[in-house]
Amino acid sequence: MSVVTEAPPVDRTGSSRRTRRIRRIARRVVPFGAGSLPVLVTLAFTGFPVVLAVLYTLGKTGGFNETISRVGQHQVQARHGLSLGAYRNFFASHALRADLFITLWVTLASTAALVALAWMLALFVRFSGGWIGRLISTLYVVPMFIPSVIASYALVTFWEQNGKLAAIFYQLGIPNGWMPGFTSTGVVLGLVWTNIPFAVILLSSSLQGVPEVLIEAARDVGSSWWRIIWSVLLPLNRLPTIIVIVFTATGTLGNFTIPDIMGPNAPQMLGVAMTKYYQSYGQPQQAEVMAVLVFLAALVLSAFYVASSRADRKRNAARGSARAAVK
Amino acid sequence: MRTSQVSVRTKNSRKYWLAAGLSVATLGLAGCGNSSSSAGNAAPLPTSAKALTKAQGGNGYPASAKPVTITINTDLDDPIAGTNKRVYQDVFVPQFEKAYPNIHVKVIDSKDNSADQALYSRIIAAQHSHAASPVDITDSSILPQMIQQNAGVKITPVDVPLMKQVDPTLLKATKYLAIPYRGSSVVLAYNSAFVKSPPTTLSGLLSWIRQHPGKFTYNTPSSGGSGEGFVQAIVNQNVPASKENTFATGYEPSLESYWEKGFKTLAALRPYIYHKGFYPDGNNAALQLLANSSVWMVPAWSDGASSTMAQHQLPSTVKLSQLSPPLPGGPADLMVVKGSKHQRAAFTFINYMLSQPEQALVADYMKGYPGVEWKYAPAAVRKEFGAIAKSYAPAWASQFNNDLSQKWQDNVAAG
Amino acid sequence: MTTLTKPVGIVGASRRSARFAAGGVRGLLVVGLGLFILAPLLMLVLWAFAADWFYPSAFPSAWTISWWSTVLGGNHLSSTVLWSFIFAPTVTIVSAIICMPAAYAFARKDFPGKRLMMMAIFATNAFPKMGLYIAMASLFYSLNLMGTFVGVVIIQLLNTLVTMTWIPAAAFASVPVSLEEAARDVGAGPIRTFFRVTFPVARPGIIVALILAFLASLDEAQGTFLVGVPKYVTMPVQMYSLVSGYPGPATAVFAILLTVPSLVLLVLVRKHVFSSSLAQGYRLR
Repeated sequence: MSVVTEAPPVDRTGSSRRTRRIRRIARRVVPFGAGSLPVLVTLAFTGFPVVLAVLYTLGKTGGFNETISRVGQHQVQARHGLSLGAYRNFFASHALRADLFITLWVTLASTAALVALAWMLALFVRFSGGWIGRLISTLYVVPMFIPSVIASYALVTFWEQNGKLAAIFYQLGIPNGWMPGFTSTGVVLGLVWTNIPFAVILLSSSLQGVPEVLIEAARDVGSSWWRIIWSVLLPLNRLPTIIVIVFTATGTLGNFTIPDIMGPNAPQMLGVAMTKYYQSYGQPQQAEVMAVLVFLAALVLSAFYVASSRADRKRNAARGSARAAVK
Repeated sequence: MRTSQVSVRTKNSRKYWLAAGLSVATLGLAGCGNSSSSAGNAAPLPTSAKALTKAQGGNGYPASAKPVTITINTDLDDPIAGTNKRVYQDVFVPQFEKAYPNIHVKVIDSKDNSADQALYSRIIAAQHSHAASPVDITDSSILPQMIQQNAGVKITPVDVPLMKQVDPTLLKATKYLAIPYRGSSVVLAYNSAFVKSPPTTLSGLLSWIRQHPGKFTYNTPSSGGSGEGFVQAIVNQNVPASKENTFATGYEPSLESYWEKGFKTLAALRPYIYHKGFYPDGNNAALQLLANSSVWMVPAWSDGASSTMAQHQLPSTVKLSQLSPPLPGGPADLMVVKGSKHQRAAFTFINYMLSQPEQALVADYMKGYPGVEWKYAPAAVRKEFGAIAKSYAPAWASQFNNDLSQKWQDNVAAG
Repeated sequence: MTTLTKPVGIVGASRRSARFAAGGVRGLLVVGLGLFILAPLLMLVLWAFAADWFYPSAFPSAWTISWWSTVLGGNHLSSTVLWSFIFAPTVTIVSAIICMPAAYAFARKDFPGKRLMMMAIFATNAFPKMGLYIAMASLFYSLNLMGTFVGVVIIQLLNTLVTMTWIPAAAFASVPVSLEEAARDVGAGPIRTFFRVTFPVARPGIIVALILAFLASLDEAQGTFLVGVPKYVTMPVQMYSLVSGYPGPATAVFAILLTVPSLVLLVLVRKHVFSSSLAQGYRLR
């Protein structure tokens, strides 16, 4: 919880009213200026190109977009106003509709699997002391330090048909008819693999913050572990769970490396499809259409996150004032 | 990253078929990256710039001029790709720099997934704003687009005296903006432990695939020339001979309606493909499936497969064979990029690549066919490839390749 | 979730067997997690020494170290490693300079549009990178940033802004205001207060943010290629091109060599990563 109340201005020098006023203004302007620095960088080098990209998808091929439109084929150009033609083309293609669907499906499945696994691991880290806890907390952080190209390459050669895992199964006499390499399920597993550290770190550190007394109290009245998790830990860790969901889902929607290396030929996730459309099919405009669609989905998730944060903040504020009242 | 570059090397088919019995495979395998072993069939090299310039005439970079650095990008997506850069770095460039001490050559690899296309956008943008080009010479998948955009510097016999030795039809197809320095063809690579008599015709191959479900695959056409060559061979079956040249000279999307029947054939083939329709991403990825016996047969580049075998990355039972008429093959070109600040030095490099000793090294290290016409190739190379000495087809216009890849994705992969 | 260590209210003989079963399940989970995370990486290590290794052999039938000399012998590595380790610290420092004051402002001050600003940094970064790079080229050209050191730094910087703003903001917010007040009361100026009081308390969060920025820079390939070529080729750029083109074992060698710096970093900073700063950072205040 950030502290909003300012320390009362300490006037040591006994300066005039005017300088005090300047200071008061400066106190508002300086932080605004500092805060806007990263925002300005973002707006200049991300926001501006994003606006260009959106205009390009709506048929504006001139101005800053002229360079890119020179190299594109099958472009929709709007002579007057804007055109949704490029979006219509997207939804007219059955292959691209399938790509959109698999993108959403993989995002959903990998996020759900990640949250389930991360919760399990976080609970272990929180409640399992000794070497097992230490071992788990060493293990789960490893993927964070493996560059994603290398990770996906290692995973897919391990999991592919007739890959290393299949060879081990074969030697052990275990039938290995199906392997996740180059399937959308493999992509889901790969995404879980790479996102484990972030998710577990977030959840476990928030679990550490749950007061022991709460759990003791719940146990004293004979609650089962399931009940404790469901009615004590889960509600207290609602926001971190939502953060994990929003941030991994956002990263997954536009992901390229993992689905490109680990995924099937078709359907492809949109991150892969947009790269292909730009680079192999010479259609940057259609690629940008996909980028914009992914962006819209990410914005919906962000809005969800903002709303949850606000609710959480209100709840905390209410709790805080209740506590103050008790005092 | 198993990239999905369109390899330019494979293009229009039919005419340039290289016959069976690939003698490439029998070429003595020089361990790549080790230049001393190569020189077997290479003539001794004149080592001074003066001698070279004198020998070839023309407008070579004078030995007295001030030192420059030229940049060349290469992308080729196959098992020799990394090696390809190494061949440049370890073989061609050191030799060239020895001959021209005042020209330093920097090789960059643009094979990263978006790299080639990104570089292309950058080159076009640079030309648009009259800035210096990021590269001086390009040898990569963006060449057809570069030619389309007139983004190269016109080659003249004054700049590249040895262009006289190159097949004029190939030069014409590049609008004299690029010059082929080597070629190769798509062949069938098969594991003879499982396949006793490989098919000899395209229809024979198709029925072989149906009779052996799951034992054949090809890489996606956008990811490499060997799969692209196979797809081209199938869709080309229904293109009238009179229209065939149009694919190289212009862009008429209406011609693509001839492809439909071929795509239907490919879509119908899908249940018989490895893993009920798994198409690897890249020439090398296809060879890896052959290597671990997942499949018994794949289309492969003659040069790529040979050098992979040389590195013991394919079982010793893997052999190469060619169909009749053969699968497509094609040239790899070099272009001096418009906006290059060192055009004279760049042309000097290109001319050097066409010289006899370098052409011998192309055959030796890259397992490639020579870029110059066969009669100008070094005797040893002529002897080695003699039986299959034919010219190559000019490349398709890039838009056709782009559309071929997209239509394949829509109709076959996602069909 | 019956496997947690804390004894559940089970009585008598069944408690022992339950605990035994719990231990078994726990052990299984650890082994499972270990295999899931480590086995693919270990296979990569084996592969780097394989002379040949074809299905269905579970292990290479012959061993060699020739791939290592092949890879180390080529001149791929040295300059790319150098550039990576020039860019990563530069980007981290520049990012810190841009974001730290903002983070402090976000944590301590209330000003109009604060949350909007924080969200803007996050939301614009949700635009897929490929789409961004397509649209960005002409901007970079008109600003003369293509092929420049500054251009590469900017591209890599964009990936670090969210973490570098959000996590330190949370860290600063966790410093009790009373502590700062106390310092000022004894006569410390604002700068002195910041470096003597605020910074040391917020340090874990700042370190986590620096580590993440460093890793993000080390991992960035697409944008770096787009802007940096031909002069600035970093490790991941090189790696992307090698992963596809080289025979499996050589790729494995590259992968291992290029993972080493990250792993060293992991060993050095492991304990910081576990601090609660990371988690705090993603709470929108």
